[in-house]
Amino acid sequence: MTPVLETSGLTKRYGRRTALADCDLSVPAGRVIGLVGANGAGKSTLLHLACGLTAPSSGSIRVLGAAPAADPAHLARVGFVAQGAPLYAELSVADHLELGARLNPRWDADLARRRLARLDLDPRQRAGRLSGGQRAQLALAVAAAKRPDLLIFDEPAAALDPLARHAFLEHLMESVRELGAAAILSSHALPDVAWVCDYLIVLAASRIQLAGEVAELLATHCRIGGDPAALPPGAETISRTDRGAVVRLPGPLPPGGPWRADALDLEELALAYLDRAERLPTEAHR
Amino acid sequence: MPGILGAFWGAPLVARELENGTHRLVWNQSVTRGRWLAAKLGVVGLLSLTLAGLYSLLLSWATGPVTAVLGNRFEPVVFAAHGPAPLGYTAFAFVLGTTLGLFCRRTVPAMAATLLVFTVLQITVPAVVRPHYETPVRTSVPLTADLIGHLTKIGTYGDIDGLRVPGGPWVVNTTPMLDPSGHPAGHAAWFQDCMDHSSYAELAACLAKGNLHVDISEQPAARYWTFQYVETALFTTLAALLAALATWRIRHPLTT
Repeated sequence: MTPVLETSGLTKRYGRRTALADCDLSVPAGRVIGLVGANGAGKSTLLHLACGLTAPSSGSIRVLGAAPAADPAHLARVGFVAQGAPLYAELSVADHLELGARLNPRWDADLARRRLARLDLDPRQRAGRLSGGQRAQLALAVAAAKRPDLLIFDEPAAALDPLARHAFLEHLMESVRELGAAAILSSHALPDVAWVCDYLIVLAASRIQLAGEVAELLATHCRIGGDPAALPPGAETISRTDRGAVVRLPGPLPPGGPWRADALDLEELALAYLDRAERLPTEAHR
Repeated sequence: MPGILGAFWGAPLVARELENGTHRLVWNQSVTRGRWLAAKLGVVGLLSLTLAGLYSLLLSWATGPVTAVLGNRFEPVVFAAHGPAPLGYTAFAFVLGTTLGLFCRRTVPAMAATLLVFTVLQITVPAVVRPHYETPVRTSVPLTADLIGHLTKIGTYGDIDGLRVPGGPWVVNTTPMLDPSGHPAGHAAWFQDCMDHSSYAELAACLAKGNLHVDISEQPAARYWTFQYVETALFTTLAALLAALATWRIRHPLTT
């Protein structure tokens, strides 16, 4: 199957500032991808490159097997919700659906209507008067109703209160399931990513720190407690905390040994790599 | 009027989307940016042209009799408000506003820049470019008391301004007042006598006694429509070039 996102040596510079450096990725189809990193780590840049709002300074990027935003057919296959869910403040909810219907040949009016009906949105309400949660939901409905094969979200839940955030992420997962689409979602909220994503990309200091299937990553990383000198053979220390060392294992953990190994969750795993990138800004990339 | 349309309809057309971030919504629908821009320019542009056309017709109807009497339709302000030229200006100002908006990415600076560029062109084109649409005709005009009486300026040494020749040609250039032998008359004793000792009302009659004339280069009145069409074509071409530039810019991914 064609990878959803494939980059090679992808680099983006704004003037003298490098926003993204030497990024090599190959993300298989059908995943919900979490893109994690601090503010300014290059998450938005990567997503803008993926939907063709920006062009790479060097390297290449292919989305669903083609150059981003190459033609109307490719535009139809990618849905994008930008940071802050931009909408036309003076247009109503119904106007936004009308706009989507006129600009997208694969528009699914029924899907859009069903989504919005559940949200209790008055179709005559102007977008400028919606709450943050309602804006995000409307933007998601517009992006989903074009029936894309890939949905991209840039910090979709960043400004939402916990309840709106929960509702939004549920809506997101339902849309992804209904469309059978892949999704990429950037966030600095690790619990959100842990909840919805099965593929993880950690981005820090403009570089990819870690990328892979969540299940696989959790199987090859663990926390070693007790004496830090006694690590399993071949283990690479990613980061140390007062609870022990987060390490990557070359294979299954050998039985016995003086160490105490605990399973990690996605949040700890991502934090370990972010922590390492911050400590070793120059060696952070492999 | 075209400048206002360019600043208030043209400049915000793309700049406001870039300012509000809505380009990130609309550029990810299944329509390429080039087509999106073409649709916006087409629809709002046609609306501007219609409005400008109606305004120009209304103005022509209202001021037509006055212009016919004065025979001054070549004067920059009158020329710019009649015939097809205002449509050319509007097309240009509108696309100029849109293009500047696309490059500045902010509405208010784009509006200001549009007004500035358009105003500069409205001043420089009539003064510098328009006289060369066709080679001017050189001719000699005898100065009757009536013609002298209507001049807007008579300098101490016979320089003149505001000569309005019967038949309504556009006087591009004129020499100072010349005596019958073709020499400047301004330094003659009788001329200075007229200047010094006539009342304003008598001056024209006093100077007319000297059989004075001026050599002028003019664009004959019959060329008026040629000039209108050349001017319209010039601005329409500029508008098309700007539209091509904007299309190129918008297809080229922006660094957002």
